[in-house]
Amino acid sequence: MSRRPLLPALAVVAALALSACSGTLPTTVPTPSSSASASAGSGSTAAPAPATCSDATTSYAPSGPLPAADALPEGSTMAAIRARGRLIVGVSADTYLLGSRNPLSGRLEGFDIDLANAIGKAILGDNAQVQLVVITAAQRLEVLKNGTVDIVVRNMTMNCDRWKEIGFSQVYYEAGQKILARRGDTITDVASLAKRRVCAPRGTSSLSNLQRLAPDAVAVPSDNHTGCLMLFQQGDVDAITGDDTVLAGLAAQDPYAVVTDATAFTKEPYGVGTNAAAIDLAQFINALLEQMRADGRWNAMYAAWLAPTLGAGSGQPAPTYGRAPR
Amino acid sequence: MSGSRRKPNIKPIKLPRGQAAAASAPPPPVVAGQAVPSQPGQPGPTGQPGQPGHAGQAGQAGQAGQAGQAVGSTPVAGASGQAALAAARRIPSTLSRLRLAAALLVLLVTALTVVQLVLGVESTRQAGADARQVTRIQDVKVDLLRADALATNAFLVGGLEPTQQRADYDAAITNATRTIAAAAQAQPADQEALAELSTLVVRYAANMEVARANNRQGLPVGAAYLRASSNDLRDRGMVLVDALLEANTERAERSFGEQHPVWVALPGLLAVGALVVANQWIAKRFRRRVNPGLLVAAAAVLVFTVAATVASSTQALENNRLADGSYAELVSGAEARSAANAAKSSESLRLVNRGSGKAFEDAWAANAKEVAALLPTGLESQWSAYTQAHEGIVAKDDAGDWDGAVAAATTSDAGGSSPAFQAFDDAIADVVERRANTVSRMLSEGATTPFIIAVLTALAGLGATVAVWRGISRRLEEYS
Repeated sequence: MSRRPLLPALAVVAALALSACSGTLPTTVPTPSSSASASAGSGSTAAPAPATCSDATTSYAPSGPLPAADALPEGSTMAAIRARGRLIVGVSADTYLLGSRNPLSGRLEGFDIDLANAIGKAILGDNAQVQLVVITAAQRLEVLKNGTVDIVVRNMTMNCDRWKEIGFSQVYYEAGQKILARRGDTITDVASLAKRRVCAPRGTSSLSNLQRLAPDAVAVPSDNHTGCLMLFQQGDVDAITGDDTVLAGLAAQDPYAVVTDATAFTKEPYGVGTNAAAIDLAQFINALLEQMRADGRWNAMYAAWLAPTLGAGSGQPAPTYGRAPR
Repeated sequence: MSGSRRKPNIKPIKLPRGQAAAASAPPPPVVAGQAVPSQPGQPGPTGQPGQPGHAGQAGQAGQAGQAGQAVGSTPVAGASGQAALAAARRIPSTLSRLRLAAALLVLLVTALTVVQLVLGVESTRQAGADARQVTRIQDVKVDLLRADALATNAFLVGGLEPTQQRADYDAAITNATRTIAAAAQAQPADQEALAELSTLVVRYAANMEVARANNRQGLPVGAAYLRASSNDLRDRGMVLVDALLEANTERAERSFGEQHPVWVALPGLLAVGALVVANQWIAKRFRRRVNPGLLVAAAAVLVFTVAATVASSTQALENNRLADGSYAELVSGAEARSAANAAKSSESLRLVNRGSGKAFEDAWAANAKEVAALLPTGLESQWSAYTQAHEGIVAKDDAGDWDGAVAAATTSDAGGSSPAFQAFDDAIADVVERRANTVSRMLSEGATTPFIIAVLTALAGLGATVAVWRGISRRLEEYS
């Protein structure tokens, strides 16, 4: 009689004991964060038209002939750099022919690097110590504004928006935006990019031009152009857009990548970026560029780096001066 | 009720075989309590000496009932006597049901205890398997981060990477893929995560080869492949690894805590209580204070319950000690090693991404802090030798001497960052392996005693069941 209710109780105990060894739950596989792959730029909303102005390439006229390194004006930005003992330059490490790391020597080399070294030599003299700080395209304005670097020589296009935040030297190279596609692809010009996946680096005028001029294309941003080439080689994008100089460097690394024959659809005048307040430094660089034009150093640099892939070119651009100090 | 009083005569014949105490004085069973207790002297009337001899005849109980009625009803008669008689008639069947229930109870309790002990042994085994899976995943983590540290460091040297570094990278990738396969076999619940990790490692290794091939040709796109695959490994790869670590650590901790001495003790104690109640019930009706069968059974159940509880709580204590001691040390040692390798990898990436090294330096500092917190004793000097070498690299790089920094990061001369790190990594790998062996040994030792006790419990339980059966059968035989 008294043990009747005991049996169900024991059954409960048994059930508890057995449930303790219930099956192992599978390990939860975390869902990947929607990374910066396709989604980030695939909205393809047309970027707002860039601010227009007539003086995007207008810089500050030099205050005189280039001063010698040991006779820099007192209190100038250049004198401060000389006192520090080194010039800090923001450059690219992966823009072949302009600024890239040579894996064999481990050194950075290219047209932009030579220009940076020339500026360093003008301020610090022979055996100048130039600290090359590798930055991404998107970091260019930031590092100038917060003083991490003295100048940026990183194929940077002069435009009205950027003039609001930083200063520029005169135009040191006139590039134009073009398209790189697979050999034999139907892509030729901007119009043929519709519905195709096109890569450009984040924070560049190349990307905003693409979004503005080819709103039907699927824009795929990457950290830099070399990253775009990797996506291109892996089949993630159909084309890359960027300055002809940069694309020439990419095409040189991959025999199946060709820059299309279409003429450049934008003008991309490169300037050396400075802090907005360092007008004396911009003037100094302008004087140096005049000197390099005169003594043939600019032409030598072009011949060494860009002529083999871009041909004779149109030479060093003529300067436009007349910007009033703010 | 009084009817059953005839049986006493039978007992003297059959009981002697029973236990001494009960047999010596065969008191007539007092049946059905209150109504009749005052008539002990009445066996005579109906209990003709001849009848007992016919024991076993089916009709006897009935006859006895009638006889009893004849006698008992004389003074009392009426409805209550009728009811008492009916109750008395039920005794044999109640007794046989009691016999069955008690035997089943003892069997059930034995089974429960044995099952719990086996489950305990099983969860100890499972704890060992879970702990080994945690170390496997830790191994994968270390191997992957070490491969990445080696690959990124070799990249600094240029296309012509040192042969030893290349061999070490290959070995690390091989170890990682093998361990992933072993881990997937050992824990099916991890298979989905491991499958993705395995895909990632294949992708990583393939992209690293592309990076190398481009690097050897002097093409900068190689650096893009290096950066992308390293990021992939350190982001998604480590997310997967950490999810696996978390899941398996949780499983191991649960398995370590899967000893429940209270639940082991409970059924046995309840059974002992039930046997005591059964004994009381019988005692009341048969005037024997103790039923020897029930006594033996209760003792057996009590003994095996105590033994099983002791075994279970010993195992629980042992597991707690292991979980907080050697196992925790093993996990923290492995964590320290992977954090150190991640730091070394950040050091190289800082230089590969020259100038933009701030993010990598922050990562280095976070990893170094973790290493310092988890560092096994005795390795302080090796670790500080490496951190000093690292600080030298940072000082050079921050001062603009990138070439000097790279030289310091890649040199194989003593005092360089790589040899210092290698010395530390070898030392900590040694410590982690020793700890893994200790944990493995302790877990395999722990399962033996409970298993033996489970076997003995099963035997004791079967014995107790037989004792219960026979003990109650004795009483039942009095009716036959």
